[in-house]
Amino acid sequence: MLFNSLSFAVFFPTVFIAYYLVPSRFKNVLLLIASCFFYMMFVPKYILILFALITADFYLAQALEKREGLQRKLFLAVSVVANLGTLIFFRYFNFLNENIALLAHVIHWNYSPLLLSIALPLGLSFHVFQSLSYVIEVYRKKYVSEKNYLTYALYVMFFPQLVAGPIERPQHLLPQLNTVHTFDASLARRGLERMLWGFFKKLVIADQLAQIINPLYANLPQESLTLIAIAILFSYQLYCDFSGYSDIAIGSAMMLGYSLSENFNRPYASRSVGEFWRRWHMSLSNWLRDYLYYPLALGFGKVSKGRLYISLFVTFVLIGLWHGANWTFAVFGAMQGIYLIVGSVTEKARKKLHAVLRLEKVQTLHHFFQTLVVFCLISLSFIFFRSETVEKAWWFITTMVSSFHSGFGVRALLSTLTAHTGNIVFYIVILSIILMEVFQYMQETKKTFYFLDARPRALRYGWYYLLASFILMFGYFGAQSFIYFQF
Amino acid sequence: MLLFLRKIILFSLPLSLLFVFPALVVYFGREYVSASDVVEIQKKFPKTLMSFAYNPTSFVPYKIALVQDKNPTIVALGTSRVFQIRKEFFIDPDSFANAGGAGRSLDDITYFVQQLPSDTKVKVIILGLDNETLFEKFESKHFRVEEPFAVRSFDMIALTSRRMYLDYLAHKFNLSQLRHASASTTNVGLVALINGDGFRPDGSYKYTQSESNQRLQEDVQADIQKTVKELQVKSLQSEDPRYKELATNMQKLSVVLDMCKKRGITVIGFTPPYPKAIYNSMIDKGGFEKDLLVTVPLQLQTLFSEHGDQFFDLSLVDTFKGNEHEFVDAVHGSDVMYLRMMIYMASNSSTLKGLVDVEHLKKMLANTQGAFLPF
Repeated sequence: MLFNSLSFAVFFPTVFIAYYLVPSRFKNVLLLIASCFFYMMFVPKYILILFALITADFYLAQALEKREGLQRKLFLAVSVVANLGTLIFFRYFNFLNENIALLAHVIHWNYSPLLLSIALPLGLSFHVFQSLSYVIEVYRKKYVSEKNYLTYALYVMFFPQLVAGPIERPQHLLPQLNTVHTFDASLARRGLERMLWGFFKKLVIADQLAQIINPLYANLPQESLTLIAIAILFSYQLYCDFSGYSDIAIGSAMMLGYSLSENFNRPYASRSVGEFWRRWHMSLSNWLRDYLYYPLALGFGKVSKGRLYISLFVTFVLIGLWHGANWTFAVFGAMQGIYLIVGSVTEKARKKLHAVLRLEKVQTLHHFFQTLVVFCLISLSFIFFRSETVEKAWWFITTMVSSFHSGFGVRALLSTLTAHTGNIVFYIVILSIILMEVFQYMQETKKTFYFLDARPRALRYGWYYLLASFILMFGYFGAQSFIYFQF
Repeated sequence: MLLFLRKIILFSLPLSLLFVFPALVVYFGREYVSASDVVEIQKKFPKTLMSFAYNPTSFVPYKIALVQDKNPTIVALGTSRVFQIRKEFFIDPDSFANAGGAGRSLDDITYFVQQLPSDTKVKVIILGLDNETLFEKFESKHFRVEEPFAVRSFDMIALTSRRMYLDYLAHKFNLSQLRHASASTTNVGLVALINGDGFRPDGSYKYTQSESNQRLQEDVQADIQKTVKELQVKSLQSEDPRYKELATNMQKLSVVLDMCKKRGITVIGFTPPYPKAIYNSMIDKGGFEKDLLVTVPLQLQTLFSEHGDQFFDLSLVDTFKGNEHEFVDAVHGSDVMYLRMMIYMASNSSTLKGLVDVEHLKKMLANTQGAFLPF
């Protein structure tokens, strides 16, 4: 079930009302049934895979908790293999086979690949990572295993974050599932506000941008300025799509009394690529930092700069591949790794340059320049993220650079960008992006999402009405799925 | 919690005012009328035109209802590029119905033939094979059946209200204009009421707005140039997926021709014309575009001959002595252009010869000035 569907508009209010009406002991049962229903609206049979993993991890965590040494490690290994094996089978089997076949062709080895025609279970990468996080935390003795199967199943299947995160840690979500939640009007209002904000980002910005960008990506123009505009707009589409989803997930959980982890924090305001990854898809980058990068970089043997860089690079290539079985994602991840390594290697030199040029005197301008550079670097890497093939992404970048001399036709640019949606929708989207950036700036300055709570009620309600009217009037209500659902 | 729910309802009330305007547009624009009701209204008032702007019903249910009601012997089927074939082209005008729009894809064409009742009088199908019909993969299943009134109304008022506001802001219509048009004509749908464009009772389309457009030729040229420019964009795909779709559609077409043959229906196929600038650009582009004009018509010719049917390649206007100034946009010819096409096809088809009075059509053409017929 999509958050932006009529079914969710019926489903969520029903669950919300039923949740606060049923006796406390049935609340988790209700949420689990609702979550199963939510998941089964996509491909019903895949729920069996989900329950198989839930059951395996539930018992393996309990088993390893009671053991030490090799046996403990063995149970962990079984869980890791079961989870990653499922993920690799569904997501990377064809990709690996195709690449083996390609390699075989080069070395003249007669290999005919077996390609499976199976759909990827929805949100598999998310709940595999969430399950692994639980088993690893129990293994590391940082969390005591959950003894109630139903509670653990709900930890993996909690519908607001089931298909696209945020990827929760057991320490954060499981205790909440063992707490009785009574209705809290102010929390429900905040949750609704958060959902409204998420729908605004998703329906007014991301989905309308998709109407502009998708046809252009299918038939790429050859003008430099148009390609630059497409790259920039896609960065906003991706951000609003995924962060919009996260806002709806956090908001709907909040209405039910739960707190989910934040996933985004104004990433395009970052002044370094490192900072960007601390603000973008935080639950994934934190997961990979804790369970992959740290063990690789610091886990065994001698720590050296070279090893840190290799670990960083490997982690980011895997972050890239986590998004999909395509070399475009690997290149996207590799670019992040290279940005970070170059950033680290040149740090001292840049600091010296900063002092020599006395950039502290023009700090605002300097910060703006840094933000701009980071945004450009990230947008450049998103070209690989969006393109179907590496060749297409490369063509995009080389044409963007090589046709620069052909001049800037602003009128032609606008006519291309507005061709599929018309002028008004395009300008509304641009206005909405500006509105979003200003609102997020205010949130960051006031250090809270709910800074309007301290403002007069008229202003607050005016803001709600503005968002709701924009959604109703300018939202895209076709069936536009969330980009991160495919992951 | 009750207080919270009450607050939400109170908060939502002013928002519902946003939907008053769309509801009025749907009402005065007669956008709510069902496909079968349109057919009834057109039977009662033969001057009625129908063209919806917001009603999610596609042409398919309307054209199927029309054909079922008229039970004609000749049917024109295909995309919007057969809209211009009129009942006046035939010796017995009442024996014809234009189902253009109901055959956008080969699946739609198959569905249309399957929908013909067992006692159908249809003996001839004039099938326009648009390039899109041959290579595009339309997910058109959900367009075939009309949604119930409540769902249609909800879709229009709740989901397409933005388009209504945008059209209103772009001065495409206003409420008093709509009310006035609604009171003075029986036309159905906002496009028919405001622009005077729409489907006539025979199912063919009347382009009133183009007829009265003083700058039509300039607009058409601009449209053609835009299409030519789009054609000049190089494809980045090493393998054109349209070939695969074309092969599948050729097989589907063969099945449809078989199906028609079994039911005693003769199919006369044709490929609609392109302006020369577009035709030449397609040839220059090579690849799939060139194949569509060069090798595909030959394949179609063979396929139709194998089934005892006839096929006319009319992609190039010179074939039927067409006039470049008889286009209403980059891909649609006017009814006069289609009159020329009909004269050419009837002169070369034994099936059409008995249904069309070629001499009468030639006189009609001689008496017509400009790109549009007077009816």
